[in-house]
Amino acid sequence: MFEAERNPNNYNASSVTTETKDLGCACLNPYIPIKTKILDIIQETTSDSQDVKTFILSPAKPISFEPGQFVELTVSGVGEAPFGFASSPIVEDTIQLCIKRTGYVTDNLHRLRPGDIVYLRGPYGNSFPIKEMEGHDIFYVAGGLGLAPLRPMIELIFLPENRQKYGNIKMLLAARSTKDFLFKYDYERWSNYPDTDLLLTIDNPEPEWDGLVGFPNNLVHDISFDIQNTYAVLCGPPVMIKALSDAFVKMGIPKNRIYTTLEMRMTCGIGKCGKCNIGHKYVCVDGPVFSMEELDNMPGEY
Amino acid sequence: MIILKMSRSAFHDGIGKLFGDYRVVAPSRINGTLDYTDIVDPAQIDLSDELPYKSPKEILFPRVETILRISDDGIDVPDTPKPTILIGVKPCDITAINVMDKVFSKENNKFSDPYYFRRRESLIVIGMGCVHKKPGCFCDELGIDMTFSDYSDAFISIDNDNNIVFLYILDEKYESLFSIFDAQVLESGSPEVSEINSRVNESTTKNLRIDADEKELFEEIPWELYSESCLECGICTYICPTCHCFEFRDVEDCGVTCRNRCWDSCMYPSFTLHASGHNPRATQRERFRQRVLHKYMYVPKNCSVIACTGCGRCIRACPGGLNILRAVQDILDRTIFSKVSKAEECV
Ligand SMILES: Cc1cc2nc3c(=O)[nH]c(=O)nc-3n(C[C@H](O)[C@H](O)[C@H](O)COP(=O)(O)OP(=O)(O)OC[C@H]3O[C@@H](n4cnc5c(N)ncnc54)[C@H](O)[C@@H]3O)c2cc1C
Ligand code: SF4
Ligand code: SF4
Ligand code: FES
Repeated sequence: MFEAERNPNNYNASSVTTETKDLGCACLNPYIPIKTKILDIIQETTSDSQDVKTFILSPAKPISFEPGQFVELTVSGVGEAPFGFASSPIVEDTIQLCIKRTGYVTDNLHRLRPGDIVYLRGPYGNSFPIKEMEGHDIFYVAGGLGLAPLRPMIELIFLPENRQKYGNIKMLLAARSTKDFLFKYDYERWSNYPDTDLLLTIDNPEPEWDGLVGFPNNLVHDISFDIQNTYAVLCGPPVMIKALSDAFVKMGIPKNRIYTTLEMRMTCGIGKCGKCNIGHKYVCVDGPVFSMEELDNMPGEY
Repeated sequence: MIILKMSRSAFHDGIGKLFGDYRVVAPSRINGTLDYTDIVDPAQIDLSDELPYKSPKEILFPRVETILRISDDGIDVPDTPKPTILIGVKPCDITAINVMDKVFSKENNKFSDPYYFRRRESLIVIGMGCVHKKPGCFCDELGIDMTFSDYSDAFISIDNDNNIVFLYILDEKYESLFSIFDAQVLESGSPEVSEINSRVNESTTKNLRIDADEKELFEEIPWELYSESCLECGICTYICPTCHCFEFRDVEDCGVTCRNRCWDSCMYPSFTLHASGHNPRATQRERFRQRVLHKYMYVPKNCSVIACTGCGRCIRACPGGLNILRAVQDILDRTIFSKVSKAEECV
């Protein structure tokens, strides 16, 4: 009798009771990470200003992911931090993360050796809408470490079964200096794919450098591409993203064809800890991939 | 519905029988301050008409909770804690449990938080109404009835003149548990009991939800006016029954890493500080904006409840004199005013 009058939103214990019995199982507990072995470590940058390494990891259980998603990596006894997947998503048993030494967790990670153990949980977040981009040209612009989260998409689209679904591919990769480029060992293979242009730029001239010089936002005007038919995919420091998307919009690319991925400080990766919101959106679940059209409707708190 | 009528001493005797199987938490006075406290003797329970200083949220969401132990041997999860009975919870704090249930559920951002829910499942909530509104409280402005909340498993009403306790059992699943009380069993409607749910429908329908364009609010509201005297102490968020932000802290000892989940606060500069040094919320102006809009706009958008119960704790505790109610009212005045003035422009 009284039951019927109770608030229909009332908490119903029976609906969750069985769900949370055994929290030791990762299927019920999203905070449980997977034990992961470091197979190899590649030193990417050779400059004094930044230390970036690629960690080749073998998780005890394969983690399948989509381009744009990220994982939370734990260094034992130190802490956890989020990193974008940086390797081809079709390779599931080894995962690559490209990580800059910048603070507590990353500094301790950079001290580890092949054979050491770390822990991963994920994948988290949304991904690049590569289906939607079919039939179009793609213009990637990456600044510094921004190339890492784009690499899964780059590799996926270069697969023979996917390549013909897309038009011309342009890649403009920016680094502070010639010593700061990432994945240099990929460039030749990438530029040899059909209808692909790979351009490199550095911030300041260097002797014997025959590539471009300057920030990407000042260079895109001089690069010819089919504005009407192009998706721009950008990743880099917030200043670069803002300046570059302004440049692309001025050139006439619609905002819903410009995609980027954002970074925020994160703890949980699953929309609970309250760290990563921009307005009512949570970058860890609603992002990290956003179109400029979406970002335009959100407060600029990033 | 079954209602138990018993003497105060019978109530205490019954509670005494729960100690073996349950953690019992109830308002109790320590050095003059009333607070939700772990009870070891029923005589400690103080059911006076006063709002406990802190909220009871740490029963479901502890200040520090070890969620994982990681070692070379594997990963293990600390055992599920003992079930808890929470006695004498005020309607505002019961409403806050509703907010937390939503925030930690799948409904909010697709994932459900298992550590919250394993405590929640075994929590028994026994509510108790307020007789008088306390200074700084504004639950009524949010449409919360201070006398009763049906978002509880049972509800107490006390006849102080005759030292009699009425226990209304709202969830019949607990009827057998509460047979531990030496009490007279009454049915609702019997002349001896007052209608506990009678005021629900009369509760005010005022609603302070902010419903405006996020970008406009960010730019057009003078946030710095509200946040000027903030000292960045974070008390407002620790004391709040609905603040739920957290951080992990890993502590290693003898090869075992404990991952501890600790309360964090959006009022601290480090909350959003990137490793690069960039901070999307650079000053207290942006941080207070986050606290207000998270409660009055983002949680309502994502979980359809306002994440403030009007308990007034943050207002009473703030050393800087910040007042969330005044800020919200001012925002509503300005946004409603701007809507009106825009409509006038169109004419
Ligand atoms: C979606 C996403 C993708 C990302 N992808 C990449 C990527 O591909 N490559 C990359 O290099 N970076 C990436 N980042 C950035 C990366 O997450 C940060 O560089 C990293 O979190 C820095 O961690 P840190 O501990 O080294 O830095 P810090 O600034 O030292 O700390 C950051 C975190 O560590 C914790 N911490 C700091 N000090 C302590 C302490 N004393 N005790 C306990 N905890 C402490 C903090 O609580 C904080 O959460 C990404 C970020 C996001 C959000
Ligand atoms: S309690 Fe007051 S002074 Fe302290 S952080 Fe909150 S608003 Fe600022
Ligand atoms: S914001 Fe203040 S008034 Fe609202 S629930 Fe939290 S402590 Fe109570
Ligand atoms: S990282 Fe915790 S809410 Fe997004």
